[in-house]
Amino acid sequence: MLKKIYRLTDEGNRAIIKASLCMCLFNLATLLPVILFALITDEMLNRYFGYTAGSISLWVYWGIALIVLGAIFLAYKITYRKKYLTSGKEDSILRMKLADKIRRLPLSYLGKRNLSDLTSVIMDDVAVAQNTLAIVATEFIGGLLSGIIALVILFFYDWRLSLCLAACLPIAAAVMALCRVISEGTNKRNKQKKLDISDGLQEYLENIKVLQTSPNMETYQKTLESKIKRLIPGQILYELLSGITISISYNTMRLGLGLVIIVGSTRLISGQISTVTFLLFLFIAVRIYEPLTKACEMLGELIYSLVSAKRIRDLLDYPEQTGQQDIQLSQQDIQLPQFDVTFDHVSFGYNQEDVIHNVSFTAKQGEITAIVGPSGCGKSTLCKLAARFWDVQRGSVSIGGVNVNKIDPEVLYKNYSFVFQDVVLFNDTIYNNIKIGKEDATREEIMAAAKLARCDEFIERLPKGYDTVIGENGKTLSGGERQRLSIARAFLKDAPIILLDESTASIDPENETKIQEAIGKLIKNKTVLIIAHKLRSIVDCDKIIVLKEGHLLESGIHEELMEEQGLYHRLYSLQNENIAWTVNSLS
Amino acid sequence: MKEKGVFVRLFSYMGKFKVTMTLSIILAAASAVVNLSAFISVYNVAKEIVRSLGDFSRLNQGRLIELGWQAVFLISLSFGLYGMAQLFSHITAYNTVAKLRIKLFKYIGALPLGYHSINPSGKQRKIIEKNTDNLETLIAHQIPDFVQSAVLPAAFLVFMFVYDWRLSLVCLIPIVIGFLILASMLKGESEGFVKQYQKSAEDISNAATEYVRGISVVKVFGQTANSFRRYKAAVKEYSDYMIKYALSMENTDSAYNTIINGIFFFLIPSGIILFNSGNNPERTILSFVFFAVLIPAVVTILSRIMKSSSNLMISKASLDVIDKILNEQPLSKTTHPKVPDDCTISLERVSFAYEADAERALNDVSLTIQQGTVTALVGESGGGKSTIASLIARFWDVQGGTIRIGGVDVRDMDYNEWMKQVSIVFQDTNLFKMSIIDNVAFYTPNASREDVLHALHLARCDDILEKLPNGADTVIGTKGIYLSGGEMQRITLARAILKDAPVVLLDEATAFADAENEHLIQKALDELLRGKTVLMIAHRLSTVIHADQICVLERGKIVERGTHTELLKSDGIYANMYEEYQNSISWRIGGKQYA
Repeated sequence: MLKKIYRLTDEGNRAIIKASLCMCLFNLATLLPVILFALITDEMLNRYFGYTAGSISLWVYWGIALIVLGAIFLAYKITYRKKYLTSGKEDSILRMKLADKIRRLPLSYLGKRNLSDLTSVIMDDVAVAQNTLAIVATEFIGGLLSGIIALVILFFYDWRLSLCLAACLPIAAAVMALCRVISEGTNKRNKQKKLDISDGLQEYLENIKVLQTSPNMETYQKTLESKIKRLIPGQILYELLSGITISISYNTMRLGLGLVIIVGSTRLISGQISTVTFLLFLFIAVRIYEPLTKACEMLGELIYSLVSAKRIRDLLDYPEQTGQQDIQLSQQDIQLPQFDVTFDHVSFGYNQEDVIHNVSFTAKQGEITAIVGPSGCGKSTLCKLAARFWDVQRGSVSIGGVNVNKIDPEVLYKNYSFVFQDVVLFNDTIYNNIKIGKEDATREEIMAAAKLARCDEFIERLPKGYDTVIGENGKTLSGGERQRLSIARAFLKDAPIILLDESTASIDPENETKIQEAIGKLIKNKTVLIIAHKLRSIVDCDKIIVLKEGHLLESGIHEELMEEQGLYHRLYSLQNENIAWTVNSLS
Repeated sequence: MKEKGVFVRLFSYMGKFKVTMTLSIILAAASAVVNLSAFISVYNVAKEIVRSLGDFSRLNQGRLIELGWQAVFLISLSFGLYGMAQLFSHITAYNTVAKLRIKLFKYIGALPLGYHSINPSGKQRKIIEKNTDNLETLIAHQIPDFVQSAVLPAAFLVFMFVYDWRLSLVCLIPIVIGFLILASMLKGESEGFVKQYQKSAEDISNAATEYVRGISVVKVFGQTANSFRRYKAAVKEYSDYMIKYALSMENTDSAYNTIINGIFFFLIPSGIILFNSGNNPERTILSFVFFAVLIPAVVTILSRIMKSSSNLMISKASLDVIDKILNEQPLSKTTHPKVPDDCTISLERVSFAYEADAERALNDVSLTIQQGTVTALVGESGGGKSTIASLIARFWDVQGGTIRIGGVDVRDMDYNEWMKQVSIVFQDTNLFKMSIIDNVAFYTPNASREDVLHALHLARCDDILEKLPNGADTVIGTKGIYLSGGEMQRITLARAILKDAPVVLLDEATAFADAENEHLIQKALDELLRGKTVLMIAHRLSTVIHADQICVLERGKIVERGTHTELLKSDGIYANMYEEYQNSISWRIGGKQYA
């Protein structure tokens, strides 16, 4: 059960079960002194009334007490050790497993999902699940089990009094269940209100520049304030509902104490039970509900953790993209005859609605193919389909004649380099950041790549050169420098197909020519697919594809397209007009 | 002492809810007392039986039943009181947290905009939400639990006099030892642990964020989670640290739980010895039974505070972060605001550094922007272009020199008044989840609908309004409403056009909108800038050739200034940049240039 729900390893599962059993032993051991108390009291009474002579053996009882004490200590210690060791180990195993799974997910899935949400599965959900395993699960299982075992043993000793002890447990459990049902609605509403607060705060902080300079600040703050205040009554209601029901349920459980006294005293008077039995049940009655109460307390947290466990499972079970049997990962080097990228009647939509309609073209090896069109026309979608970020729904995309769907993504990606605007750098040295392009690259190769990408000039200015650590996502570098590092990676990788966003060149307008130069060198003799914005920069391309709303409208070389007097012509002319714009031109 | 600090600070945030907190504390204490007295009833049952032993006919069954129900009632009462204590502590907690959140967001909202440029909104939101959440647990649960455990030793002192001082003292020994162990754990846990834990947690969180954010690179370059060393190391270190920490507490934690569950080990021999000594055996028996019955209550209360101790440290850390924010310096306000005559902006020998020991972002910069003229700032990134604009808008205040508007120091002007005079058009174009009308009228709530629509028209937004289902009343951010970056930009321009402030600070967009959007944005800018005093951070040199004044910034200094023609003639840095720029716009991918 636990193994399935929390995705434990076999070893972890066994360890948690052992820990729970030890917890149960601990609980049972803490009940043992009660028996000693009853026996000793009985001995005292026997001597007091003169039934027995001599003194009570101090050493026997103290000796037994010592053994019990030792048992308590050991049981606790073993539980403790087992649960924390296991949860610590499972924690890292699960986090590595999740990270590896995320790596295997199709990029389309990653595009759809909020990245911080994914991170929170690795961080928060794993933390909740592991905490549950370490503390909640052991206490819950241990508490419940020990309560039941104790009751069963007592049942054989005196079933009537045991029944008294247990009589109200089902009612308590029912109240508990009822409590969850009643408070669930409030709980949900509160969660919604909390989300509202989050959204409100986020909007407020994001727009603080606008707010601070507008007369609306106070009004806005008031709405936010009322959002925050609106949560309070709901929270209190929830506390009231769950607090009261839990309190009722605990009290119901303890009615057993009263029953034991009433039934016990009747039976004692009529001589059906001995004094020691009565005292034993009396002592037990004040003690036995404790582990059960604890188990109940844990139940809430256990249920709470199921949400996290489910999020973890959902991620681990998400289907991966695969390739065909014969082009699996094991075959490290599939030999493709050439690297033409061909779209054959491709239609594709993220949801029900298609955003790419029946597009066919070939980007030839050694040629540059540019995709242009107004924003939202499907340029970048098309580019990403070329690398199997998504699987197309109709038609096919192939490289060198092989359908990309048949190639395992890990093998497929070896053939691509991407130069997009969203450069990802790691908080590591420049050297290691470039090295990602080729794991076994030599220092010479890395420096050569950096040089080709025009990185060497800024790297040399850095205090530690190639060994400078560049901060989170390279925050110590300018946009253009980061872009050139990503190009250096691509140089190092030297993949036959290059997917490129032309606007990457203007990410740092003050250094535009350097990036342009680097890109120029990178794309030589490759299959190049470019998303283009500045039409003047692509007039020399071997093929230009004009998209509008997912349809391939025009294609050809610049001169042909200009002659057609269509969309391309219009965009081109408009841009030439734009470039002449200046501030202050009217004055 | 440290804990006390936390509670004192917390109390100061409670405001009038100190009353409910106090109530909660009293109820929690009462609950502990009632809980103990319930066990006294059970003891009384035992006492009746022990007293009538040998002749049960003397036993008053009615009395026994009465005592039994009394015990049940008292336990219920104790739970009820505890529930009430929790209710009041929760009321306090929820209200205090809400108050604190409101206080925080208002305080943060009044901090200089520079603070917001440095601190990402997501991080700030997390502090407002999560750190206050931690305090909620502390107030709601831990304070009542601490109170209950504090009642125990006091109760035992009372029992010492009422029942048997010897056995009472014996029982007090393990309780005191328990407290000592707890105290030593708290000490061990304090500072060092929390700091290390937070660092380790931060490392793993950063590594995970980095890994997930970089997943496309990880995938495309064939990396694995294992080869991603930083993540692997952070995960391992975190788990090692958690295990190490847990194991370091293994013995103390086990000892604590053994000792509070082990009171019997002290009680049994003392009871036997006392009984064997033969002194007043009846009293000894009764006392022995009394404590035997009472122990479970002690265990219940003492095991509750165990969990609280580590939470206390986390709460303290949270509180520290909150207090740090509340100690941030707000923008200085003047008591006698002066009003400038015109909008001529002049920087007089202005110096500024973002951090005390960092290199100066601006170094002794002087610049005058005449009313009604356009000044463009050009130069490499990091040269100080945006710092100048930020200082004029008072994101920060200058550290050396002065910025004057129409001869008046900006710091002597009313901040809100000055902000009415300035439109800031930067690259981040966030819109509110409101209708387009309300978004545009955000600076000018009194504007008529016609005025707003006119501004939208001037900002060339007509096509946007046409395609949206409810036109200008469409709420931004609702499902199915998608606006491109260029479209959002035009709406923010409409906002600025409607505001019609005499000064415009403009950061030219570097991102490339498509040709049609670009064209419309340019038209909208024409409308906005007409007749204004303009400071423009320029990235594309072509757009500024008609500016009245162009300043070239390099490493925090203005190294050249003049009109486009003048600067070209002087053949300096600007002339170079311009040539470079001409090259870049004539770039053709796959063209002959680099072939």
